[in-house]
Amino acid sequence: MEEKQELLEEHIITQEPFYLQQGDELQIALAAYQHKIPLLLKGPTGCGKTRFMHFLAWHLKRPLITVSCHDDLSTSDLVGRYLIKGGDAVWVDGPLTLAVRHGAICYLDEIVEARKDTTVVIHPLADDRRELPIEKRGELLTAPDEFMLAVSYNPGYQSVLKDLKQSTRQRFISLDFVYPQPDVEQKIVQHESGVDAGTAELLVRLGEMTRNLQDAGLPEGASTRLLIHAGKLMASGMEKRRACQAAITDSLTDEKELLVSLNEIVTSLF
Amino acid sequence: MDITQLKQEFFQLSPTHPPNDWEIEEHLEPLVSLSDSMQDWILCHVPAIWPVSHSLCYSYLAEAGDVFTCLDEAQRTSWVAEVLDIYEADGLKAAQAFMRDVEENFLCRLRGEAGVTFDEVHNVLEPYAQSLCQRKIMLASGNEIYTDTETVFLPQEIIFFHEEQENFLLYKLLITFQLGLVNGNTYDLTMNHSDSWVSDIVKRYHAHLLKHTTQQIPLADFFSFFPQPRLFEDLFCLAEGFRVSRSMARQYPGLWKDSKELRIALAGLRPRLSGGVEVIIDDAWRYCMTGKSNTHQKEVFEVINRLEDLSIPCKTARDSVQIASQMYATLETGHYQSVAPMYYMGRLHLQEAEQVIIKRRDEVKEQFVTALAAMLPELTNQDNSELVNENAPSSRPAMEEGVAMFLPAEKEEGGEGKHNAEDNAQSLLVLSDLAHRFLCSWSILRLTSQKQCNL
Repeated sequence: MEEKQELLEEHIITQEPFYLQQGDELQIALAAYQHKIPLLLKGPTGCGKTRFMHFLAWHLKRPLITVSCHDDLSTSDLVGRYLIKGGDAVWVDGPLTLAVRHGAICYLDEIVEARKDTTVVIHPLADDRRELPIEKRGELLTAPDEFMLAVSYNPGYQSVLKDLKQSTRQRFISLDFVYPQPDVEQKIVQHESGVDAGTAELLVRLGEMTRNLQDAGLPEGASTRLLIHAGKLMASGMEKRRACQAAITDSLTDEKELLVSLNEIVTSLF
Repeated sequence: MDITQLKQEFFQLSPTHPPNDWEIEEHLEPLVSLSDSMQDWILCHVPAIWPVSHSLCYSYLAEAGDVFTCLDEAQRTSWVAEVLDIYEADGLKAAQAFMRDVEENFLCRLRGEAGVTFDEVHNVLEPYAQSLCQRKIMLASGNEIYTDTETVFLPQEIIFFHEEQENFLLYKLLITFQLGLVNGNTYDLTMNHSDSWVSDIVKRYHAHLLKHTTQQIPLADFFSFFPQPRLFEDLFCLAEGFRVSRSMARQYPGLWKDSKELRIALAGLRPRLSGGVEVIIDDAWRYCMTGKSNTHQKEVFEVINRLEDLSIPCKTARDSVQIASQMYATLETGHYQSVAPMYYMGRLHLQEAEQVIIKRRDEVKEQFVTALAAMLPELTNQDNSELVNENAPSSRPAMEEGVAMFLPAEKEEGGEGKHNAEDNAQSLLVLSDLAHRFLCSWSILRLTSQKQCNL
């Protein structure tokens, strides 16, 4: 029990994460929590979905258990499994079960990456039953009031193969995240990377310029996260153009001519 | 030298890590047919290349025979030095590509012909142009530098500078400036009849407004209000060119810094004018391009001082018109010969741009009508038919499938043109609900369109 408590404490966010609200996302999330409705966070990569969940968990003073979903994620990975310890089969809770037992927030990041049969396990947990059946133990857990389920996905990656089923998505309250407004994004980049206001402004402009190339060669423009990475390299003394190349343009594409174009954008700014 | 002698010579020149006998024979084969002196010239560079890269040396042996016949002795050494530089900077493939075309990659540059063609750089420049604008932008080559707000027309080739990179940079400057005009709303500008300063100009120059039935006067027409439209147009271009240049310097400091020498060189290429207002305007253009003025003429300082008012970020194209009209009042002259703007500004094609903007607005309108037509039956089927059927008087047709949406107000029976207030209020309720939906849809579409088209 103590072991579990320790494990859970690792997930408690003690310091307020830096998060600038873009709209009414916090009010909606708090209302969803109050009414025990799960959250669906949509938005492009690096726009602040995960940071928002950190902020929400800190605000609600609940532990946050994050699972990064992937193709091989099985139901057992979420719910738990028996492990052999000293000749005995010992049950070990998965992150979802742990969150349900202890009233934590369970955040399934990039849910569409998980196999569809895996996501079905959250269905009874995501409606008014708020139950998690653990078939291997013959146990049915009912989530306490403090428990919250949140999932995220990037609609930009949506395809026939990787889409959220209607039966899943219609259980959630949705928060649509976009890249922050330039003035807000500038404050974020400045705060997170430590660059001066002028450099942050140019980085944000670089982000906007690459986002104008969306569907004109690039699947997605530079995320706020990438801008922060570039800012961090600059703050550590790296030459600005090289920092943008390493942190942004080389990460966005491998296509040679497009890469040259992106580097021309960088040299226009820095 | 025959192949055996060539091999011996090669082994003497490359004492470190010598190649296999059979391997080098293959690479020396192309040299056998060359003269002894040419063979010596080629082999004398082997000690410099072999330790750097064996593959580079083999490529050199394959190409050098043809290359050295085009070059004099001094050029051969500098060609080899450049091969090594390119290898160091960009690797083997880049060095091989350089060696393959001596005319294009080396001799043209020596002759000062490092021009860049539009076709060569189009694929790189198009995404760059697109990044500057939120809506679709195209590039095309043309005889003049200008934009119609959808396409930027650029020269087929730029050969101003000896370095290819500088010519490319000029292409980049051209695009950024032209789209600076678009993003700075130069082409969207219209004058308002009711503005007091517009009225003052109309009075002062006895301009007639009969042609303009609406409040808005297109910029091209506004030029004709002045006795010397060409002078006013040039002064407006000067003011707007200055405003957009300053905006570019703020928004794209890297490009502005990189292009400093280039802009100075372009200013230097402008022909010197002899006198009159033309010299003042030309000096102001030079100041606009370089940030420096070499003249002590009082009138030039006055023009520059007025232009500096446009440096502030919040200034608009309308402010440029006002500054231009102030400058016109002091510079108006009996005879004026148009002064060319700075190279990367080109000439404004206002009417062409206006046509494109109107076409784009029409397209957006059409999209809206199509979207609304698709939406209306759905809206009316949902609930409005009930409302109409309940509230409309029996004499009125019921709303069917989205038609008969706007019903005319009915007159009281036997009345004298008065409306039936109660009936009208009910009608208004029905219509305002639809109108509300209509307006909401329109606003959403308009916002979307504005975002996409930057209308």
